[in-house]
Amino acid sequence: MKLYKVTKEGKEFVLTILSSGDMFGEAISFTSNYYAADAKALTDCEIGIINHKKLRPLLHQDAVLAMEFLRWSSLMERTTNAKLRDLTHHGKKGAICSTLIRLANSYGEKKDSSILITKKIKNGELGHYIGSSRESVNRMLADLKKDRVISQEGGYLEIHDLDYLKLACDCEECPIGVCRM
Amino acid sequence: MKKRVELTKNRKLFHHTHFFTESSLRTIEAAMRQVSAKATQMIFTKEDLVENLFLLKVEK
Repeated sequence: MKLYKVTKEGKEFVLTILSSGDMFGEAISFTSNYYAADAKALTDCEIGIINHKKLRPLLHQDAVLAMEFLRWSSLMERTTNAKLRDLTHHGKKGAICSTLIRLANSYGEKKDSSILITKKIKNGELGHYIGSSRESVNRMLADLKKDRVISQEGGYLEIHDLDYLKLACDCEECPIGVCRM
Repeated sequence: MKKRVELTKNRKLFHHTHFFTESSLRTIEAAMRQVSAKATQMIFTKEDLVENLFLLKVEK
């Protein structure tokens, strides 16, 4: 499931990719009647839906549930803040490097001296994560390949120099629960 | 919600949601309904997301 925005010009920006056990449609519910994104299923999935009008009294009645909801909401806020920092503080190169780290954390498979990203991903799709065109992503990935930081085969990315990526985005070593897609 | 959403029986599928304990999930499951989403055919609009909280389980 992806949460995304589309500009008036039709340009897509993916805010986050959600996987099993995740939740969405949250924090705004208590403060506003406006939500800034749409959500779309990327694979077959099942979704539990609870209306906020029903959720609110449950949070009042069940303190444990309320605390867990608060914990989750705080984690999501921290994740969003970290992503915002990564996407804005170190230019497009920092943005793509941080996105590659996030992909590795979410879909990475450790090999001897590299990390294979098991999710097939097109360059245009990567552009949607960082607000860049496919052409810009092509150029940046070509530079990273030339420096042997990554390789790409059959649509799968493989990271050979994680430290290079971390340096490029001034990685703060956030926990994996925060540094994710 | 889009009409393509297919309502299914409310089953207890979300025990593995890593944010909630089982007892908390039982509390909200009673008020929850469940839908199946087919890849790329399901879109929740901004309005849906304002009104509802969604818990996701990926089939595979």
